[in-house]
Amino acid sequence: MRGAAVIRESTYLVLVLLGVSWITFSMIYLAPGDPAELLLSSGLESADPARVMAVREELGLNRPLVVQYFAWLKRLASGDLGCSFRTGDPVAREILSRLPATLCLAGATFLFTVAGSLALGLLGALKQNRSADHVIGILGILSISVPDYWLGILLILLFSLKLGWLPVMGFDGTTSLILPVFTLGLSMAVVQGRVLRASLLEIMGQEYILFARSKGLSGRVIVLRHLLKNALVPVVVMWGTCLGSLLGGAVIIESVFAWPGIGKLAVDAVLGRDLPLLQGVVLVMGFSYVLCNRLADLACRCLDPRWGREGR
Amino acid sequence: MNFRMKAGGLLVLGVVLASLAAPVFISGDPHAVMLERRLLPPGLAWPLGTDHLGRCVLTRVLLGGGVSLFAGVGTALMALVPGMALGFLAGLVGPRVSRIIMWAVDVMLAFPALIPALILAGCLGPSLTSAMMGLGAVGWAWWTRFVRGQVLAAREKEYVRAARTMGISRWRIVFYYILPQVLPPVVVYAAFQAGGMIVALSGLSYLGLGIQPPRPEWGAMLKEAGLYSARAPWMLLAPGLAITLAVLGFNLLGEGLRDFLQVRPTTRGR
Repeated sequence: MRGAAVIRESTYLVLVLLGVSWITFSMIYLAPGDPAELLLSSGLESADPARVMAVREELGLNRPLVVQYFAWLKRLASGDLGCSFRTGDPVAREILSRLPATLCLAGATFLFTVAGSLALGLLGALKQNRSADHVIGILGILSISVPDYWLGILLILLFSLKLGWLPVMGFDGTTSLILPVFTLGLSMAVVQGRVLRASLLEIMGQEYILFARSKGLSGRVIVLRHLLKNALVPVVVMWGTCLGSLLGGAVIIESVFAWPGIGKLAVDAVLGRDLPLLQGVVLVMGFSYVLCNRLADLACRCLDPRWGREGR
Repeated sequence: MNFRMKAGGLLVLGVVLASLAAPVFISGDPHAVMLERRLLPPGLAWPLGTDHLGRCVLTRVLLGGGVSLFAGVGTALMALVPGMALGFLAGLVGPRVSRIIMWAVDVMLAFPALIPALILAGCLGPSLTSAMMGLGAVGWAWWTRFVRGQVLAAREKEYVRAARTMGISRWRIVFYYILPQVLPPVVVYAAFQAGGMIVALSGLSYLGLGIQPPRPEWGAMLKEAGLYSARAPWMLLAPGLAITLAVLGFNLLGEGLRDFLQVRPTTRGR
């Protein structure tokens, strides 16, 4: 039964990834005009018709769409994402060169978010309806209402330009991480902390907690083993989503801080109408998002075997 | 009516009225470039200062509200209506059709929220339409999954089963037994999503992928303000505060409605 479930789930995952790749593949046909012409025309110059024909033949653009899709998938499997319109460099290489910056930012933000949500969630639940809880509640609704990129600009203005404590932008050492990590992580940490708080409070009322308490278990054991383990499930789902979207590059925040990561690359690709580059970036973003969500799902199943039974 | 509902409702109403009334009170051309009065700090003549082209920041924030608010709410509705219809369908029909719908949903939700908007902006060129369509493309999928879950839960309620055994017609059950249970959470999350869409649209405009200049819009104004933040920080404050107030209004409204309609926050399941 378990084996069958694994096969069914993996097949479904492959089907979703195929859907993602199909959308990514077909987006180049969404653009008005002929892809071959787009490829050849640089800026204002229009392409030479004879060369357009040659490129069409070379790229197999005359073949049916489905055949092209599978040819594209085959190239994809060997790591060939095509070449950028702009620079002519392989897309895979450009993405790899942007990966370290995004991984750094994503990793640091993820740690900040996890630590922050645990602290805020536990504090809110253990001090329910006390002043600390109310402050976190108000902070929560404010932090989801303030647009994060605006917060980022304000922080740059205050800490980098006025006070001169932190570097203005770019990826340069640990101090350059502080502002983007805080900007990205604040609202996520607070929101997830609120979800954890609600989940903790729900479980605190359960009979097995009362039982653990009446057995005379220490407060710490109850909180860690009985409360937190069961309350984490909904938060772990959010952690997965958070990590997935961070690994794909934080599109807006990377632009605010001129962070040389994948998110910034995506925006540059859009503004430069560099479709192969955008295709590659979107694919990486989609895949990492799906896989992280999947991982979170598996983690939830370890925490709570009942997870995911209903539905589907 | 609780406090948060009233506060949120008043905020939303205030922002909407201010941006509706703005065109009536503004005299002269709000887009006129006057370089001799550029980057003036807030004062009597210009309550919120002027921008890098000498335009009044207050005027532009008020005018920008029209675009930001209505595009945001419009996008939220654009996602809600088809998403809800498909969610009902997926919750009511047999497993085969339901599985196909949910596959499409999972594929759409495989993209982080802003990505379809980036794709459309890359293919069709940056514009408000491509930004709205892109956000709507992920939005409907979220609603479909959410509404389907609600419909499935409602279908299993005792009195819905009882109604079915009594032989009440299918449509009657959908409209009189299931819909009233699904609507309250939908209303609550629609308020949250309206706020979310306003932030997302302004973010896309900030990147230069939403509304194009010279039309005023809060995100686009922040993009211009970012370039002058050291010399003219007032350009930065007004549009950002406007977004915050509008979104805070929708979020408070959502939280208030959630308590008022007694919708349980979804902490478990999806």
